[in-house]
Amino acid sequence: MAVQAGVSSTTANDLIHSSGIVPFVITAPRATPIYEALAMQLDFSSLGSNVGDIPSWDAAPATEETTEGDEVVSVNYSTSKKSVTGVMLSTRALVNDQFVQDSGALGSTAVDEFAANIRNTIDVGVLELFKTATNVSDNTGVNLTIALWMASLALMKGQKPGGTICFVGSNAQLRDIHADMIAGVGASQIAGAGNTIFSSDVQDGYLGTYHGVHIFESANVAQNDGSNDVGGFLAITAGAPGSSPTRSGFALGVWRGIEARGLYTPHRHGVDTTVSARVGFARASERMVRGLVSKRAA
Amino acid sequence: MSSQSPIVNATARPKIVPVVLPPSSDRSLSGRIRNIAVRGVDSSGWLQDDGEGGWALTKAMEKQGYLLLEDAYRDDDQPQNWAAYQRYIRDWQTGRTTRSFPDHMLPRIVLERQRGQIAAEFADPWNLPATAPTTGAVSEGKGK
Repeated sequence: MAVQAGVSSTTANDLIHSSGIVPFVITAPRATPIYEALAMQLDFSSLGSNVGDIPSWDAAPATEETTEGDEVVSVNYSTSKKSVTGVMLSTRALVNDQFVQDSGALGSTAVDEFAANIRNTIDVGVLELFKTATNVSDNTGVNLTIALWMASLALMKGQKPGGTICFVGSNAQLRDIHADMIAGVGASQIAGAGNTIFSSDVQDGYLGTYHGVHIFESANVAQNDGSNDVGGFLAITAGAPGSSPTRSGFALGVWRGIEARGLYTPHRHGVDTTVSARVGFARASERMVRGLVSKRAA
Repeated sequence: MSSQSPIVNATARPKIVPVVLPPSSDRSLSGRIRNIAVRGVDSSGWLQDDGEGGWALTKAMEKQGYLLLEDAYRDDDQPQNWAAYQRYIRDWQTGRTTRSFPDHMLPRIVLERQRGQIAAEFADPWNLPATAPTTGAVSEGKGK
């Protein structure tokens, strides 16, 4: 049958957009930030210094027995401190008038993306703290197994960390734990104790509990070199639901939270926008942290 | 520690400062290298601003036997391998390698620490790794 003449997308193509844009933007590739759940956030907005100190009591001093009638030995009870040094994490870009007018998107859509970048950088900075922990189980060049993980967990408990123990592993480290559940430990683990984390449909972030430890997975876990990751154990004391921990081995000093500031520049036709946060990172106490190094490649 | 408040571009790659762990009877830690990422300020507690745009170990870490890898190369008979290590860091950061730096190109002092060839003060017998257990039975090779 012959095509009937008339108005079609060919004859009246000038009336049709060459392409249309859906009313959303897919986010950039980025791990789910987990520092809000792991690090205690310290309000340094009125600190008056770029360095904040976190004191802690040292272990009780050793002393000696004295005999009856002798005086009790006097000992020193000492403190140590950890310092958090502030840094301004920033990203800057010009949000053009043309972009705002033609895209139909508000400038804030772009600014949200800038803020997400800062948030991701904070997450990376916090997780980097595992690498230089005083206490580390170093399995460089060796794939993680549940046995190695349990050995490190026992050492972590020996540090008397208090609170709730969390484990933060890289994608490779969780891969190895899951693989060991299948290959070495057996299906009973998958159906039983390991069920929560093995069956979790969460791609990253909080997976669930295993052996009483809260398991987190993140692609932001630091690499110690080209072929080894360094995650680890962290003790926290949870705060109110939705808030950061009240105590944690990781401290995030916040002089200024993530903020966007813009300056309209008429000679450039746009808003010169800077999103930044003035923050600092430190381990609050070494006994509450234990690094765990293992091989990345399968 | 620097009293300045630096500004760091969020998308900038961090500066990597490789530090060699002190000699230890624990072979899993002795002489291992930690590639510390520094974004404007040191968060590890290991480093301090050296006043020349670089980073130095704090006195406390030096006293414990920690060592900058750069210094280890400076005193080594193959100092040119420091340049190779710097190229390795760049390749690692840009995802062009998924391997560790070759052992044989590390400074001699690092290799000695990793092999357990450590000074007497770190090598008390009760701190050395245990020898492999033996049943006492004489074993013979299989086959002929």
